[in-house]
Amino acid sequence: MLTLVLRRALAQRALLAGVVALVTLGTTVLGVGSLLLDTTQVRAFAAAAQQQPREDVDVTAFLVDVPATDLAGVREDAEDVVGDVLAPLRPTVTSTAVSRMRRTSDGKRLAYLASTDTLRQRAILTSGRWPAAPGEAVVPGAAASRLGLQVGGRVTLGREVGSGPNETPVTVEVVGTFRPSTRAGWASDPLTGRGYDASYSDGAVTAPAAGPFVVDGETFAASASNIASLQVTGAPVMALASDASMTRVADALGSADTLLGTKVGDRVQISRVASELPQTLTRLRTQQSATGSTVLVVLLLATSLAATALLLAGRLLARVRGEERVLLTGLGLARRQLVALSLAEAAMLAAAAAILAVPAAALTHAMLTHLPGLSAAGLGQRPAATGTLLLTVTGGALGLALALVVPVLGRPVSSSRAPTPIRSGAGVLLVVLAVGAWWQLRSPASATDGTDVVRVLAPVVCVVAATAAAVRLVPLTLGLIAGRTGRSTGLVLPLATHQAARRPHVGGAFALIALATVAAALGVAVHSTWDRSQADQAATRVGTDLALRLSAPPTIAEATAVSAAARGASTSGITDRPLALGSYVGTRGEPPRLVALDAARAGSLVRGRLDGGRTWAGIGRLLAPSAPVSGVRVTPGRITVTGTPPDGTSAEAAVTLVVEGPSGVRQTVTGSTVPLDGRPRTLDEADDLAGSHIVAVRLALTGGPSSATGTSAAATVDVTVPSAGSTAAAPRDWHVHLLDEQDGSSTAADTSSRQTSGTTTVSTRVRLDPAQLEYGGVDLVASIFAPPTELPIAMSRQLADALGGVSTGGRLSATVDLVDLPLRVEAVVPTVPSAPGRPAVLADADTLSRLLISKGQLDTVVDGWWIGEPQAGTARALKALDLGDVVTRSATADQLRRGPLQATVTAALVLLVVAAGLMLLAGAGLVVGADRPSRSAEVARLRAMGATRRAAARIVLVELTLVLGVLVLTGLAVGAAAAAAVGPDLVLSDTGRAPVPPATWAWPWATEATLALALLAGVLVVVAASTRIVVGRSGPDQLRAGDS
Amino acid sequence: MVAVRGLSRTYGSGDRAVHALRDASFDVAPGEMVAVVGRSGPGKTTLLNLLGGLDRPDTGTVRLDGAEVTALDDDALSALRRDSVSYVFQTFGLIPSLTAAENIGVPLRLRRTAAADRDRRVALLLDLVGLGPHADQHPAELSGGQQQRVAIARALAASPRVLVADEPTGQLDAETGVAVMALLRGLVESEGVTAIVSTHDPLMVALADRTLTIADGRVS
Repeated sequence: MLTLVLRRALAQRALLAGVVALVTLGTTVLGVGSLLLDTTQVRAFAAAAQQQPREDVDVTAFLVDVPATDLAGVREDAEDVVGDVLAPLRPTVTSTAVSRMRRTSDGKRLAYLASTDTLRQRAILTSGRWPAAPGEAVVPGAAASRLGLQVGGRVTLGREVGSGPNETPVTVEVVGTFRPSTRAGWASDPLTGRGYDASYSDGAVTAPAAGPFVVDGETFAASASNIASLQVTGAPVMALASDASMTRVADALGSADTLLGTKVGDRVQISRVASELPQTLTRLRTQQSATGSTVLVVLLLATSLAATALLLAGRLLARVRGEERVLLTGLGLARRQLVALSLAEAAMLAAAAAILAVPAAALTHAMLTHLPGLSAAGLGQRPAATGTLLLTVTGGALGLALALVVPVLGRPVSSSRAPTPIRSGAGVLLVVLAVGAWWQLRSPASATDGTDVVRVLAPVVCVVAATAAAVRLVPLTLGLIAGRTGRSTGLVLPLATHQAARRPHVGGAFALIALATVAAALGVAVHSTWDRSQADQAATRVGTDLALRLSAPPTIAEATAVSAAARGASTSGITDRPLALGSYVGTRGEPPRLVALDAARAGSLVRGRLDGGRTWAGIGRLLAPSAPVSGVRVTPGRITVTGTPPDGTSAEAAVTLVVEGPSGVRQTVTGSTVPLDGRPRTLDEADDLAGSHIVAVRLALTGGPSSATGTSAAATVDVTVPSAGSTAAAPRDWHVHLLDEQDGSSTAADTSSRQTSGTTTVSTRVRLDPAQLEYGGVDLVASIFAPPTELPIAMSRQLADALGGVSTGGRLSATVDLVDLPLRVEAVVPTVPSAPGRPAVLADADTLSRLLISKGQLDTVVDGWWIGEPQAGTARALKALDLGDVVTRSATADQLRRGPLQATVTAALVLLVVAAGLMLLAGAGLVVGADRPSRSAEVARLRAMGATRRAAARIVLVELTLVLGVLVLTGLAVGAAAAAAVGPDLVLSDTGRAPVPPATWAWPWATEATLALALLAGVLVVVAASTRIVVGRSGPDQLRAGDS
Repeated sequence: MVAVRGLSRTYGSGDRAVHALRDASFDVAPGEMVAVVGRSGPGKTTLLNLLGGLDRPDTGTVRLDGAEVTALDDDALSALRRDSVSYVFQTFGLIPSLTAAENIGVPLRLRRTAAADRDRRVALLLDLVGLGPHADQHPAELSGGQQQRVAIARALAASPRVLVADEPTGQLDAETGVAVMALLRGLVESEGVTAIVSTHDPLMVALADRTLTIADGRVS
């Protein structure tokens, strides 16, 4: 029996070589796929883990309220816990200790000490030098400025506040100033790195606070300060990170809290171990899974192609061996012996293919990982035969080779069978199957750690069924063409079209060629769709072309520097803060967000798709204020405050100015409290405001016991601003608003302005009960603008749904920075820029600022800047300013496209397109090759009837070109339909969910046309070569051949 | 009509040389039906192939109405077969994807006959061979005898002067073979065609006007 198999193989070596080539190709694709899903994904995970920001992988032990005497022991225990948790990743453990607040020497303000191992990683030195000796300190620039400290100056921090205070003062020498380099690194600082807070409150004490005074460990210990907070942080070596090691860390984190609590006992008030590492691990796994799903779909498509090719090869082999089979059966060979014969042959073919496929797959995989995108993502690998590869290739080769056996199980193939008529029942079933699979994909994607089997299988079933259904229409199409040519007098075209329309045994061949074309076209289109979606996601994620996310509130000088760096591009300061809407505070880790920008510039600033033909410019017009604010322009000189108290009462005023810089950023300038005694008092803190505009003044009036008998008296406060050469706003433009106004209060105020030579005076007159000054005081804000009554917003669809279907025109109440804001919904948008898929609102930053100011919240609303259409070099210039993170839309899109965990998608799609192209050529070669003997006989007969060699060749050429051309065009059409139907569903975001905005299908005409031409050219080469052979071998000896 | 002189054809060389024809010479008169008989081997088919220019002799000439077939180039030979010499094959040689009518129409298409004339001629021939009702059937739907009748009709479609048939009943049962032979004989007479038919069938030999015997490549 084996001899028969070997001898037959020798005789049919050309055909079997083609079969081995097909099996090799199929198994190579499977092998490459296994490597992409195995070694490349593992490598991608490690590369992606290394790219995670520190704050996403660090493990930090937080310890609150530690007595000075326990600092060393508690720190050691915390270091042990953190070190043990992160042991698989060999962490570097650092600590930061912050003292309780101490009174400054004047007793009016608070300040605090800190000692940290990571100052230089979290801060940028802005003047002087870092501490180098005991007793030296550096402070934030804002703190130094507010406390009037100079580099080289000495400052004494007095007794601690709170219970059981350390009474011993500490004196340090300020040797430098700094500012935070990252916002995240200062999250646990009492002043979050701002350096100064005019209204700091820890719940027990409320006073202006400055700090930290960062000293070395020795100085800190010597100060014997009680510890407000101790933070011990472990930074893992992410080069060692893998799924397994990160899982061990995440598991250890589960019990770390308990362990730390047990170790530190009651030496601390609160202890906690926190880390984002488990969430980071989940995110990485989700990204890996999302990419894996797409790669699996591609692999399944390629496997379907290979299986179709092998089934076709099996049929062709069975056809070629039909007579032999009849003979063997006639000689008494049983059916199971026939099957055993085929199995033996399939095993040998599988072995041959596997031997070839292992190195081919290893080499192809190595080449794919050196594609520019993958190489840049750190995924480049050398050829390697892994165990997974060997198993996949061997299993795949056996499975595919078994496809050769399937036809043997059926009846012998009749060589002269009439063309199969279209079976409408099967066609309808295929259409139903395709639509059903497509419908399954319509269900929303859910983020899971694992692969969603349905979402992997559904697109493949849809594409294969749609292709099979479409292929059934090809003979009809060819029949129509044949019908159109039937009445012509010539032979070539009618005969070729008739032959094409009525070819027997076409199902498998047509399916293979069409499916290969569909797969190639779909691969190109899905890549384009995926690529476009990454760009869309990046646009929505960043919200603009270039975003600067500040690490600390900006000064007017910094805002001016940003404007200069933007060099005339459309620029806006933006607000990006959490907000609460009534009882709705969002989901865990995803509070609703307030994004505000210069709405008048939304058209040139905002990026990302809108629906229904709306534009961001149009949305911006709904949100923008009707007129800009024009404040009192400050020219060089001193700002003074002059006031008179109510009769019989001593009073003082704390004046805070809201000034707007040339770039539009508003900043507060808080002056010292000045007595209202009729004499002008200079606001020293406001000595460098020239060029700015004052837009609001907050006055906090307080006083001593009153000897006045009445309950209504007047106090006045004049703020005189140097404004030479400027035109002051008319008195009627000022508006005054009492803060904390109580029902029934008789307090009233009005503000006006007057211009004298070189100055503008903003006068506020307050009628009040003099006793009120002693008990609580009077707080008011005078502004150059009328306080807005509402904040117009555009609300994200997700938030609108979460709030129960809020629609345009709806009104809501929100809380931002502890201030209640009335909102008016002007529009509901699919998503708010920079907050993709999250509950969020978009507003105008100026209107927001005005509303907050009118409610006494004067701090700047600027958390960053957006720049539209920046010039080359703007990002670099902004990075050089070192104000925070600079993010560009293009860089984010590149990251999404070429991130380690995403880049594999490109490799898989390239693999699909190349494999499909090769399958197409192999399939075409198989079809025309298997047909060659009968075609040669036909050509011989035509020649005997008088057809010239050229005419006979043309008939074959036209027929094959027509068949293959129609199939390729059908494949392209189905590919386009499939790209539209399932392409967007193959794109998942890096969160594993459907991307935001939803992916839209792309059909890159130029690339698809090039692909179609390349496929047709390849097919034509096969056809031309086959025609040459067919005609060349059509001698007289063929005339006695049958019709097989 | 057909004049063959000194025709020789050898396949292979040396010890393996097969002399299919050795110095064959004979004439066939117009309207004559000649049966070529002989043992199985390459001789008969080789002779028929050389007559229509499907093969080229090593030596000798074939003349058709005085024109030397063996001197024609490939295109001229194609034209000769298109216009003057038709073949009927043992395996029928029909094109499986074409209907009976379309198969018969192939030689007419080669001559670029107008569609209407072609349809008329095909219908006539289908009637002549008794297959009018089967015009739209494909070869696979016809019996062997019907297929051969279609092949004969196709051979006569272009009104050739010479009809060359190679074992036309070789794949038919005896009864069908007789019917086909009778048809062929009748058509040769009615169409005025010269026919050269290779056969093993004694009945066919009996129907022929004359018999040529090939033995060891020699024609007698």
